[in-house]
Amino acid sequence: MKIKTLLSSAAVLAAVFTQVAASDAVVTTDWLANNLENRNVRVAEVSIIDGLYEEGHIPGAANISWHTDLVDNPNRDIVNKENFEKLMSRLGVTPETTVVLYGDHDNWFAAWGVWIFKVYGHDNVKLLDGGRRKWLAEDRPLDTIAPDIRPTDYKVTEVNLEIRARLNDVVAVAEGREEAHLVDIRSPDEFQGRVFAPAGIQELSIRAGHVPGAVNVPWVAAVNPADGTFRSEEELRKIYADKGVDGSKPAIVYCRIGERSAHTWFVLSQILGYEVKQYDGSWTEYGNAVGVPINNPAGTVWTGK
Amino acid sequence: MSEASPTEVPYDDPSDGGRPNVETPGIREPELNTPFLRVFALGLAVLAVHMTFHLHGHDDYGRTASWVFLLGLAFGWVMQRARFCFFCMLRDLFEGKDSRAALAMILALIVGVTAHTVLFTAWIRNPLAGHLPPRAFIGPVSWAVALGGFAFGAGMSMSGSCISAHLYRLGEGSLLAPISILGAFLGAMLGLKFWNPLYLRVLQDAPIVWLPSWKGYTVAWAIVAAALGLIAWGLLRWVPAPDPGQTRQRPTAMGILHAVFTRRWPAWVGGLIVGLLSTAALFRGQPLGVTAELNRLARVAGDALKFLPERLEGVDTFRGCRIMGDDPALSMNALFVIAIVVGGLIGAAGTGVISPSQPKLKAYPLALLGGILLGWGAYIALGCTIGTLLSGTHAGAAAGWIFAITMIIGVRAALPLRWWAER
Repeated sequence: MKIKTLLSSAAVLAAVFTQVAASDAVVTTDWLANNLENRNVRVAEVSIIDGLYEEGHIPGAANISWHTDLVDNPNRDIVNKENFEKLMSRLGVTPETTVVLYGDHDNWFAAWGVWIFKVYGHDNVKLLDGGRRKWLAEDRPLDTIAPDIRPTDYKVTEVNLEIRARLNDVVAVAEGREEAHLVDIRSPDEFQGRVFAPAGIQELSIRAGHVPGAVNVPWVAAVNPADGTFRSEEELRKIYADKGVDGSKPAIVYCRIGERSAHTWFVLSQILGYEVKQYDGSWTEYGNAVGVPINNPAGTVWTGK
Repeated sequence: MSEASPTEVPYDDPSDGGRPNVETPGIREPELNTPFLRVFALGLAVLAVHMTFHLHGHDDYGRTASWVFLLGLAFGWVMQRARFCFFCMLRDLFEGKDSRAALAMILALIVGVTAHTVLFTAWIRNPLAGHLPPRAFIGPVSWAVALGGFAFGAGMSMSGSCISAHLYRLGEGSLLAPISILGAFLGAMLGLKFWNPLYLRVLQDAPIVWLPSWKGYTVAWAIVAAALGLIAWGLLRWVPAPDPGQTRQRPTAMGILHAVFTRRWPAWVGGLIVGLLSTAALFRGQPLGVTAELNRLARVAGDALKFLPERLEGVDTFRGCRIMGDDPALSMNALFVIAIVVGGLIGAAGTGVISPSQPKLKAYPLALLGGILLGWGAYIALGCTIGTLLSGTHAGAAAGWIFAITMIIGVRAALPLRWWAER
């Protein structure tokens, strides 16, 4: 029995070490394929598009609906502690469980999920490198059955708000009272103020532009276009350092509604190890806030000419 | 065909040889015929349905277990009602020149293959990519599956049917079924005893052949459909002519109840439902299979008796009737097997008549021996008529076809032993 346990843990370790990935914060599709039946691993899909999970998901993966499971409706807030505990219990997670999240759009919302897991102190959470796109591109199996999960009684023991930025934190940086790198991960057109929101998007701010002092590194810079995996650590370090974000000061990342920026938060904090806060209010809060400074190089005016 | 009356299809002889519709001259089977049987069947059915709900809400089991149990009930009931039995099918063919059951089997295969293909297109978008569909019963191709199929077929002839049919016959009062199942248990232990060399020399490097991975779903389906179609065409000549005495009548409610619960179903109804049940099983939990639990028990017993090697190499790496982990008290497969027995019993008692068979004395040791071949053959083939053959061919496993062919040869080769046992 002992030998068997030893052997199986050796096998798991071997599987962990054979992964070729940008960082320990992510797992490869190969690693995941070999660990689908590992009881210490819980896989969950966090996709933006409704119904993708039902259409077919990684065998054994649970579903996390970001609309309901990860937010506190009707407040504009992340899920509260009690509901997060309920979610984790439903997912059969214990503090020892390694949770692997993945999703569509190169893990946008899966990364946001990782951020929320970290807020509630579940550190053992990783992203599937390349997410749903890479799994599908490799023609790996999907399943349509939702797994039977024996619920646990999960308790949050610490809440880590150090990785969350609020409006005041950002205003303080914009007004020069606090030191931080501001990283705007939206498109250059949004950053420059030429558009109020990307094409086809309704939610917007009545001001265009960006937080004064922010640098623009669109989220997509962090991934390999071919398969959605994160670029290598060296490449990533250079991409952000070229914009002045080198980990010498804490950083704050934001986007339009505060979910996509979690992707860059993940890169900077989980892969590069920088101190980073994710500002989930983002431009739809900041740009609409009364009396806060912005920078709008294009000079556009809402409903103006 | 010597039938009792032109309008009433006679109640089939459930004796262990499984010969239907043929009266054994001179032998009057004792019958247990009481109205309480039907009440008993109803009560058992209510209890069984209650059990599915109970499993559903149970912390250790849950939704999948509930489904597995429900499917087992349905499978046992349908097999009993339609006499879905691989040995009976072959015996009809070899002795009676009656191909109706064989055609039903072909229907079960084509329905299952088609429905599985639909499922798989959702799960594996590109079958050429080298991945296998989740849960599906696709085992390695080697001489082990061929030999296992042959041994299993011989065991079927010697014991009177395959393992799944023995399970539903338990409920029909078969006396050979428990002996055969005991034999199968011993046979599985033999399989385990000599597992390591088999695994290391043969199975470890044996290719796992999934037909759609060759040229895609369409080609695989077309080849299977064409092969089955050809066989069916060849079998048509042995379909008996309809009885001219039987006239079509307007169905009545009583008549339908009678047709469902008392009379044997036409074989093709069973084939159709089994093809769908197999797909539902894969869709909702795990593919049909009846030997995993037997193997698990054999392993537990063999370990306790210090009969087995301390380590069984790679035994948990194969899909299908492999030995599963040891979580809850009852494994999924145990639930499934129990449900088949219960379903078969509901079917048998629901007819209102149970006539226990009275096999000859020499049939008992033969059944034990046959049982050992069943258990051993299923072990080295990594499954039996249900797992490797039915679930396997449905899933597009080449191993399923190999098993089917050698099993048929094994049945034919050992059939004289059955005749001897019944003489």
